[in-house]
Amino acid sequence: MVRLSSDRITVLHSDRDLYEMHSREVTRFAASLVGPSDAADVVHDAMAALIASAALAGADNPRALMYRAVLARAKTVQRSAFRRRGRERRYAENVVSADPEVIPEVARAVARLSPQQRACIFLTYWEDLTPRQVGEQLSIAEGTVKLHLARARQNLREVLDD
Amino acid sequence: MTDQKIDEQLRRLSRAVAETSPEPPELAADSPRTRAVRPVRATSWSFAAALGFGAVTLLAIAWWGPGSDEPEAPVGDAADSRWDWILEHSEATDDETLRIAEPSATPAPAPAFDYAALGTEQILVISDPAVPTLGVADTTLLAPFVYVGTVADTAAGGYLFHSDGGNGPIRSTLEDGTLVPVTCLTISVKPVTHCYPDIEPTANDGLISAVSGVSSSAPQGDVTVSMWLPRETAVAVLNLDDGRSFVQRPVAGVAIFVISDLDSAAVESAEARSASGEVIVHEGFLEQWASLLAEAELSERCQAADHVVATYQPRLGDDVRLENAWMVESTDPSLEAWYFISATVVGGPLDGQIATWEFPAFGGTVDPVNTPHLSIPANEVAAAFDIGTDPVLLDNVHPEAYGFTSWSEVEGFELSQRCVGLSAEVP
Repeated sequence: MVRLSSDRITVLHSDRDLYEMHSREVTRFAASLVGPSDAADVVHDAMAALIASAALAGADNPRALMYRAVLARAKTVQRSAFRRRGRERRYAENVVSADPEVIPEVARAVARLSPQQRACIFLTYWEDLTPRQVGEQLSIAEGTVKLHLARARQNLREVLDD
Repeated sequence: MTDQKIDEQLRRLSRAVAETSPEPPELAADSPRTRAVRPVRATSWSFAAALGFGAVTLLAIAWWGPGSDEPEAPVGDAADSRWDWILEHSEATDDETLRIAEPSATPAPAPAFDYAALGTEQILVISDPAVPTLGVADTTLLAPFVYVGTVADTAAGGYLFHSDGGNGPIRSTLEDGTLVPVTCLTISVKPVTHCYPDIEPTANDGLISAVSGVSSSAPQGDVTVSMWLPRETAVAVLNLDDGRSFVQRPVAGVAIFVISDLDSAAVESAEARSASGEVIVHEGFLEQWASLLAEAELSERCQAADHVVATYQPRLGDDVRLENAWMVESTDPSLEAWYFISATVVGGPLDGQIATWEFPAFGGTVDPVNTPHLSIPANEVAAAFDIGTDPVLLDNVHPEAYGFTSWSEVEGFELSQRCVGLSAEVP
């Protein structure tokens, strides 16, 4: 559908179209936050809530909205402390088995970071976004992105220097 | 390890995550999936702190997820942490350490009602961010410091700092050992540090995270009360039981009151009000302490502290009280104050749970002449439990952690319990 307005032409996609366009990347993103075993659930729940709220189709930047919804859902999941330990362990094991060059202590240290910190790391190191772009994607300040990255690096420094 | 090596590791790790990502899920038909809500859980928070400032008491209290009959919150409702919110609305320096942020861009919503009638206003003045921030640039905290300013023309300003739990002397730990973020407010003139879990206080939680300071009879002078408020708070209100009330527009979600002459009064209640004047959260202090009084047995050997120190007010909810509280006295003999260690929560969703607080920071010397009524000196508590003196070790202070089923099994703690009633009775 194409909607004409006075100052711009907006192409409106259906929710399902938007999901198909970005499902793979947001699932990767979810995996960076909660690990592969919970990623699909996180994406599904995030998308379901977005569709229910009818916010997606009318959003200026639906892709960024999906990322934020996935991050928000991941935070909720992350708060489940009962399962957190197991999830962190699986996250680390998964990463190390995929790339033996990844130092296990690094994987474990990253697994203990908050979802938002991990989101900043993933978007920076996988998607090669600048802090400003990461901030726009997640709707947080550029300074917050820098802070998360600085903390993550400092954590790793301490872990690896021990 | 060099920065280059760290970058390489993070790049490898991110690639490994992406390459092992599962296939995207199929979306359900037209309506979102409704999933059974997970059962309620309880987790104890525990905050240990020792910044060398003196007595610092921290709370650990059970925290519950959504009730079993409630739907899960919509995804978009999940709030960022308070600290993220502060940062996002602040101007941060551009270097990687981001030491200083100025929170004046995080004002309270403008009140659309006459809040002057609610009490005497104490204005929280935000200082020029160029002012040195009290020499707090402690890189071990990995935290930017937000200079808060002064209150009511009193040099009682402070700064907020944040710890993710894994760095520095501030630790916050779940029962399973997971480190969680915590945001602390230090009042510079005491100095006292108040810490809050990095979660949003809301009406559903039942209480503002309010803080009471030390006795006004102490040399440090006035009492400070800080509040960690819901973001939609336009006006914070503090009511004393002698009829005095104070109001303040919070900044960056924080209100700080400076109260003189609290010897003859007690903090009765605190409120967070929205822009329209609606009470978002009401926190009643004396109601809870009255319950303590009713349960307490007095001891002739026990003398009252003139003010109870509970530097973190638990979110207990309505119609909830603390019973069987155990306390220790301040390590600082100049502070006639008692600190909570643990108490049984009665009523509310945490009914039957034991809320635990950390001990005051160790290192202070107890003066046996000026504090003859100590049932057990706080600086001997560590030895009694053989938990050492390293504050980092002081997580999850509950009797089971030390092989007891109750504090009453520990010699010397009986009087502490009996002192609760007296301690809670503010003259």
